Amino acid sequence: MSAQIDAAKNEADKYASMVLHYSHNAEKYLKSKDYHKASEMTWGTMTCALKAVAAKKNKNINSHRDLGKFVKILSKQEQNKEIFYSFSLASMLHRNFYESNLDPILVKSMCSHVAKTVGMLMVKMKYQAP
Amino acid sequence: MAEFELEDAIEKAEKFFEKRHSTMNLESTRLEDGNWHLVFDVGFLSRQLKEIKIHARSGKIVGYTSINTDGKEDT
Repeated sequence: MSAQIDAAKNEADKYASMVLHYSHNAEKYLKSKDYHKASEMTWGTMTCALKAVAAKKNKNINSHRDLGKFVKILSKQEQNKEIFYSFSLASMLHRNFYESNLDPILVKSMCSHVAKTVGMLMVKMKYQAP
Repeated sequence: MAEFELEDAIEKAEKFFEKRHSTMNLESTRLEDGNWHLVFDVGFLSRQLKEIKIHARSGKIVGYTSINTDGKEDT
């Protein structure tokens, strides 16, 4: 049982450190106005934050579909529509990486919105947001 | 009477922050003692407030401070 808890914590820690890595890169690309890369990095912060939450709940997420189902349930459990809304924005940013069709003003605003939700999730999991 | 309008002050502040921060969201504005006081959230994952003061006549930046999220100045 204890080993299972340790494994879940390690998994969550791994994803939490990836959140910091991706958010650092997202900021870097926003500053350099490389918006399609910033879009993908912000998507990365969101997915890793959700995977960290899932790991803490002993759940494995292996596909985009699983992620969508998980975020819907999480949003309801937490009674926080922002989580699902931010996931939707992050999905649009993910698509922007391939299609580069979003206006930079929208990308900046969406990245900022998603990042704040990620920060909130990190604090909820007792990880310090920088 | 402000010669440098609020819209101009916001544009100037955004250009100033653009070089220093990845994102910025305007939180509040006020005109006090002849200066525009604009507060922006420049944090990415967490809230990080910065206040910029712009002279309402000349349009010059006359001050720039960090504000703790509990509202106190943290220069």
